[in-house]
Amino acid sequence: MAAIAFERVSKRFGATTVAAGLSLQIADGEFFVFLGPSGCGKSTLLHLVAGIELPDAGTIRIGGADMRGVPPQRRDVAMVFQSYALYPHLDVFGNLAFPLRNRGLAGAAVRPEVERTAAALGLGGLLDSKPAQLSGGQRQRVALGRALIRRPVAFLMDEPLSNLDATLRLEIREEIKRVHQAHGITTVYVTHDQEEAMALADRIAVLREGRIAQCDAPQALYAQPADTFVARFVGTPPMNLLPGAMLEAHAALGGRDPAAVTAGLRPQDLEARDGGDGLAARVVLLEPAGPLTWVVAELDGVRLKARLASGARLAPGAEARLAFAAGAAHLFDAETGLRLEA
Amino acid sequence: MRPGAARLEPWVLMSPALALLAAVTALPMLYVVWLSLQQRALFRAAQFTGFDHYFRLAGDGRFWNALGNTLYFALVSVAMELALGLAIALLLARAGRARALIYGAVLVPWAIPTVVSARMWEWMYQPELGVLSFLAGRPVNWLGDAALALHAAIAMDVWKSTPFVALLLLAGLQAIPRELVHAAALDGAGAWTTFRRVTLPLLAPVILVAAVFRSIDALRVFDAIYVLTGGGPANATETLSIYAYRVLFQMLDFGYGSALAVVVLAITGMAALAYARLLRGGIE
Amino acid sequence: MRRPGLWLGLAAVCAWSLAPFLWQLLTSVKPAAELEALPPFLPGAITLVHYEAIFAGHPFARLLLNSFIVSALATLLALGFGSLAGFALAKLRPPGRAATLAAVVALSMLPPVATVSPLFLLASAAGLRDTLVGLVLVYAGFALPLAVWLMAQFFRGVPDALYIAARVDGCSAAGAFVKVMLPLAVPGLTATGLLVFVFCWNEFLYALTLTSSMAARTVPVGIALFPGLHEVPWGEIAAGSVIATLPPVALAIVFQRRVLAGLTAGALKG
Ligand SMILES: Nc1ncnc2c1ncn2[C@@H]1O[C@H](COP(=O)(O)OP(=O)(O)OP(=O)(O)O)[C@@H](O)[C@H]1O
Ligand SMILES: [Mg+2]
Repeated sequence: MAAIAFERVSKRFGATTVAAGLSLQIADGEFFVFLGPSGCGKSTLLHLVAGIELPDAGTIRIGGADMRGVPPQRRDVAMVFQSYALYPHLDVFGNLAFPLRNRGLAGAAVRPEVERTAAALGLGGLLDSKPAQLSGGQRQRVALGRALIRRPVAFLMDEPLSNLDATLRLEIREEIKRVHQAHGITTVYVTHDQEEAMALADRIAVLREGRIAQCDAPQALYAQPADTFVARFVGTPPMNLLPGAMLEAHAALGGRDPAAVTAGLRPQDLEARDGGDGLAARVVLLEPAGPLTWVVAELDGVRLKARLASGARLAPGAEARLAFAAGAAHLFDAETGLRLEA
Repeated sequence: MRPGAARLEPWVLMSPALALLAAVTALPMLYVVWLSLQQRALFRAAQFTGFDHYFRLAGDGRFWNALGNTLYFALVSVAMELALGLAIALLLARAGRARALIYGAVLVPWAIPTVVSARMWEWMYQPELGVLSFLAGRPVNWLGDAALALHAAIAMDVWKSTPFVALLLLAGLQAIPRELVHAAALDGAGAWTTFRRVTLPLLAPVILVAAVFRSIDALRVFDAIYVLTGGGPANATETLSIYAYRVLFQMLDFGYGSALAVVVLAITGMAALAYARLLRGGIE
Repeated sequence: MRRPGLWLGLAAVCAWSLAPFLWQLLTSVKPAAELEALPPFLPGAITLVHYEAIFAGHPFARLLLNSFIVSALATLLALGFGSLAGFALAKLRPPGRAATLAAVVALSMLPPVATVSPLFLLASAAGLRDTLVGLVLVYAGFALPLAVWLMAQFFRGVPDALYIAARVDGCSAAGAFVKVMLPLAVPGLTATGLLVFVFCWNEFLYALTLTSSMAARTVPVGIALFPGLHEVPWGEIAAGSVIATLPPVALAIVFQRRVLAGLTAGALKG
């Protein structure tokens, strides 16, 4: 187990910048998530840690040691992939045994290790199956097992859940968290799914154009997004952003010039009522979501999403009143999008 | 491992292939140009003569004859192979269950050694004993008649090479999404219109690729014609490659022969370049 | 299309493809006397004298052996070097890979006559003229562009993640190549190997110019230079042709799907 550090790491492919002077400390045993939109370079960051790609500049450390010139096979990290990446020509036993054999473990010592890991992941009866014969969930368990079996200093997980259907996704997600809690192995996990990130992470780094927009614990990320990008990216449904002018002299602005402010309101904090105080908006549609109903409303050409107040009667075309507590509003600089502290 | 080692790795793995390629193809390619600038009879001292051999080409009637034969052979055989190949591909695409059997039959001419196919056709072309004269109903001197011989060689090449074209076009046909053809039918297009307006345009890049491969092969043709006719009668079937071979290994003039070889190289190179540009610019 | 027309067309295609070879087969088993006239088409009696003659009177067995050795070794060499290079180009992505691939494709279009004079001089100087080794090297070199190109295509089809997984699971680049990439590329290797073998088996110009005796002469040269004192021994040529044709045709038919995959991958992808 080891801490992982990025020190002013830069990496680009042609015109695409994947990392621009990125610095970051991941603590020993931490579950760390890189969260970012598709194509922003999340996989490449993992490849940099694994040694598949080399940084153009900067240093990567694992357990304090400079990884410059250390090839992937000697970095002792393990990877889990979205596509599972099981070796199709080997059966489950062969897949699980592969990393052990590469480290020179003798034949007789391999079998008990493999059987123990397989049993722990509920794969006991499948050792003779080829990957093609397994279901998606079973494949991802094998992939987890292959990473786990040699107790690497760190797990690198590249969207391991995104090929699974909704039920399996939750199941394997719990499995991953359980494995982390049981073994305490430093885990670097990348995903574009903020919900997944929130559920798993000790800390999350939100990536944007090769830089870290914000790096914090999930709750802090949600409660105090550092800019409008993070604010929109973290939390579902995404936060409503509206020009400060719309709020006029609302107490939430704290006396700031409305024109210089973008206000952010989470749909959860915005209640749509059929009368009373609040912003007057026209209802566009209703989205029942089980325990509550979302109201999409329009106000001066800006679409807002709000929670339907219990007992309120609203239909498309009706006028709704959108109310919120003064403390619920997030304020951002209208120019830079950066968070303004109250 | 030093940091540079990872960057060197691919080149290390490629080095055996690159070394062999350099030794057997790239280096000789430069060497032939150098040879063509020399007066060099085999086993005698070489003498640098600059571009003399190339000036000599201009006044060499036999060279122009060989060039004409080569271009005529390439043009006619490739055109016929494309037309026939397309027809066969359209048939094969509908072969259904008999597919494996028929593909096997079609692969036979492709797999037969060119030399063997030349001997086979030579036998069929025999004026008295050949089966083709028998079919023609009278003895025809297919290979001895200067007007016929090149066409006889073309017929053989068409037989040998059409399967490759057909199989390539077949792969192209099978890559065309069925929905497009069905959509055209729903839009009221008849079979011919669908072929003209949907199939053919979508197949055009593959046809072009087949044309490139076949032209380059036809422009450098040697063994087929050399074994069939030896270039005769009276040089009526002598192509550039055959002329170059004879100057090199029968007249043992390595300088002039190399100049002829460079011309073949230049012509195939130009064909490849022209087609590469067509491929990039012309389609879609 | 209407069915009867379709079957007629397909039958015609098969007949057109097979007829010349079948005619050669008939010729090879006709008694010599029946080769003097046409008709009859079919042999009155089937004879193997022509086959006996080429093995007894001429060293045809030696030609076959030479061809087998040269084609097999050249194929192995081209596959080994070609798959290493194809893997490096497809999975290690060195800078300049596009230019390298373009150069490789360009070399595959090289007309053999363009390099036959330098190769003759180089082989003489290296003492490799009229040796099997010399032919093996030349054939492997000439098959390499195709092998590199095809193997790069096949390796490109293997997901990157498998290569990366092998590396983090403890393999060096070469180890990942041997333990993971090669086993997955078996279909590609088969297709490439078949094409290269057929190419080498059928090659003529280099064999003609770089060999001068039975020490290294191959089947195509033997058939082209078939000795005949006064008249051409058509029966024996036919027998030799049939034997020379069997290996490539048998391979092409048995491994039909692989050959088709290789042919179309070589031409269409990229
Ligand atoms: N080897 C490479 N060569 C060139 N460009 C590359 C290479 N690897 C990645 N890229 C480019 O770098 C960018 C980041 O790629 P990367 O795969 O790291 O993104 P990602 O965030 O993992 O995306 P996704 O969510 O789709 O998995 C992309 O634009 C990609 O096209
Ligand atoms: Mg990715």
